[in-house]
Amino acid sequence: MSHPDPQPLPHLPIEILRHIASHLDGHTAARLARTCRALRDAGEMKVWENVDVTSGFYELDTVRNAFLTETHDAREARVAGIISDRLEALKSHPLRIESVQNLVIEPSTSNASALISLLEILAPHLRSLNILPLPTESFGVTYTQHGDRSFYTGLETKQLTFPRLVTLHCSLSLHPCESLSGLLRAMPHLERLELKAVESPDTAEIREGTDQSAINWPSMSRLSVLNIGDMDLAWNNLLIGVLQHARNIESVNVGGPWEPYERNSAVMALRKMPKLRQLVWSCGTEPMERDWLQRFKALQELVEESEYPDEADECFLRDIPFPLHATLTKYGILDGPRLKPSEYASLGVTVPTTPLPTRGIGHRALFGLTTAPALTQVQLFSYGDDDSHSFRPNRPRPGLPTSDPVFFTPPSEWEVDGSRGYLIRTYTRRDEATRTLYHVRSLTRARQHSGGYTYVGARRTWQDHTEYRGRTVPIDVLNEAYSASNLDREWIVPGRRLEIFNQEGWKVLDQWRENLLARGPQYDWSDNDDEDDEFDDDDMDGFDEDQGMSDFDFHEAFGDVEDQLWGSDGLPEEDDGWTTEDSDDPLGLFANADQD
Amino acid sequence: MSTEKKDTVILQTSDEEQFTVEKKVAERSSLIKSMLEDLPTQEAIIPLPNVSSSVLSKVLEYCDHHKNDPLPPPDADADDSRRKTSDIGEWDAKFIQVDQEMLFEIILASNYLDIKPLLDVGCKTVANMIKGKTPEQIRTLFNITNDFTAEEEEQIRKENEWAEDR
Repeated sequence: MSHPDPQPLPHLPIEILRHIASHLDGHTAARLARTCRALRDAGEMKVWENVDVTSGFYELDTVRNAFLTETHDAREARVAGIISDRLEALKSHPLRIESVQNLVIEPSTSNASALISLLEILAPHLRSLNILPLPTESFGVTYTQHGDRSFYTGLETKQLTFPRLVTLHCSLSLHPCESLSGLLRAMPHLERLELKAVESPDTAEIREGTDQSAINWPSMSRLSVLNIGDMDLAWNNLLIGVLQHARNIESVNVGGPWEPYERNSAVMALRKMPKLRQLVWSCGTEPMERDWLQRFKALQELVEESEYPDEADECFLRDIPFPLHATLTKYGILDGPRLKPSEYASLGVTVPTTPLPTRGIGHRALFGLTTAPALTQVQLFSYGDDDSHSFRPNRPRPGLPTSDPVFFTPPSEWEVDGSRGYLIRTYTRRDEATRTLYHVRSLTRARQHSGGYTYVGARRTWQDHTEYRGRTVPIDVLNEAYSASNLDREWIVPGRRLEIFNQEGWKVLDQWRENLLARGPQYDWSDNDDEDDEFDDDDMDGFDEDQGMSDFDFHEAFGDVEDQLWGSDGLPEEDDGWTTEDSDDPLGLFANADQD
Repeated sequence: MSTEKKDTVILQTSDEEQFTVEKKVAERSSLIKSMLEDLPTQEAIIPLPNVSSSVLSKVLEYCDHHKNDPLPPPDADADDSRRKTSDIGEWDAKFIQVDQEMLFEIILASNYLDIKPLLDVGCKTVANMIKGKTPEQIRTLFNITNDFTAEEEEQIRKENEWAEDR
């Protein structure tokens, strides 16, 4: 043990004690605060960092179950007691007031004035405020509508301001635009706004009837993140109002039963956001309309909900509904709740009889890549049924603060964090823009077994797929081209920094290609992507990329290569469908079909 | 990297011992780094009146091991990232297995020398010692005298009770 009294804990400077306490949970911090005077403040600062004066409905199932036996009045009385206890404790030791960073409340008619008193003392210090809907006595289904109005009008009357507040999470039900705009006026430094629309039959009419021109939205120049959960058409005006007054928004996450049609005014407003960089779109079950995407000028990252990954939880490049966007660099696919792989096995899911392709990316994928020429990363995300793992925005979450779902992670970490996806890199010959080389790496869980495929305990492996004008480049040729170009062969990090293949590199590829041509169209490709073509020939109709293909004249773009390399026999039957009258080429990607 | 130049510095502790240290190692301390930037070139001895030689040699052991780590962002009020990573690296965990006196000395020295990652390791270690203990157990562990009156302690307990229930 230590010497008699060298530097016992209580004698450390308060900032160090606070640092120590910051690593504690609230529970332990509360115990630390009781040990002695010198440690009290450090402990209490941590204890009071997060204050929750709600009924606890969103906390735990055990608490939730208690709602079945607690009457509405009893619950209101209980919440009122919590609020007044906290208020008293805060006042008795003012250090606690400064410590409160995050507050969660559930406004109702009966507690509105108490909550306003609480906010009166906390507003100057708060960093985040979370306003949840008060649950009604009918368990878990609907929420009380009455009450929040008196809370918002009360707030306005007091003219409270929240100078430090950066995050507002708000569940609105009544007069959303009026109450929200009032609240936002009091929060000049807001950076992050999360709205959850609480659905209720009796307010739908009110919302529709609100006179939008009367809404006085403040300018929200610092707002950069906007998340809207449970979006539906009735909330269009709210979305438009916020968007029009927060021109620096960089990230928008919209989810809910909203399936806007083409001329939807909120979608139009969204498109006009000059700095919108990231869009997370989980509206309905469909990905966003492909031709909408081009209008998002600054978009770099798109995440969409999709059912594309198959039942075995795999997703193949050819099945990806590639976004049609010239500057998009990252594309994420949200994958709905699924069974664990082991449960598939226990259900006796049969393994595919046709061999799944292991190499080669095929025409469809190639076409997809050309519609998103800047794409470097495709990543697949799964979420479970469990709310806490959900990527959906604005589910009420226990505790505070709300945490951001992490979407794109660096591919170098995929193997560790269990992500799946594709890295894509294109090389374009500088003096001849029509020559493009795609290099794709995928991280997949699939592993070939003699008896088929297994997903249980399968090894995760990186696979290389590379295309050079419609053909797969063997990896050894590619490696040779890399070293001739003095390029790093490491393919973990995606990006387009290496786009300039020097002449030496291209020479290697050209040589390889000439050799192929010399061998003639009968050259046997079976070791490369024949299986790929077979797969394409399979009964895979109904996959969405077909729609894209119908607009694309494959022969115009690649026909000459096709003919030379494959001969007419080599073409998959489906190719007939691709030769359509007009090449709709909105991005001008194929304006110069290459001449060989 | 030019290795030719004389890139060592001399640090002098409170007990007047001098340490000749590779500059790269010493610069893990933001305090020393900024002193070196301000100092007219070379040869100067940097006095560290708040650090004893036994503590400094321990601190330098840490700095040497981490000399090639990326430097943490200057300030960035890293509260969030700090809390998220409550784990201590393997080497660090072993390094910080010292008696309480040395632990607190290291914390104070890293605070004074402004070596954030080391301060973090020290504070997390203390936090881990506290976790899951009752007030009485915490007092015993750190040899703390309870200087609350019974009423005070009871009031604090009541007012913070909600946090203990969580």
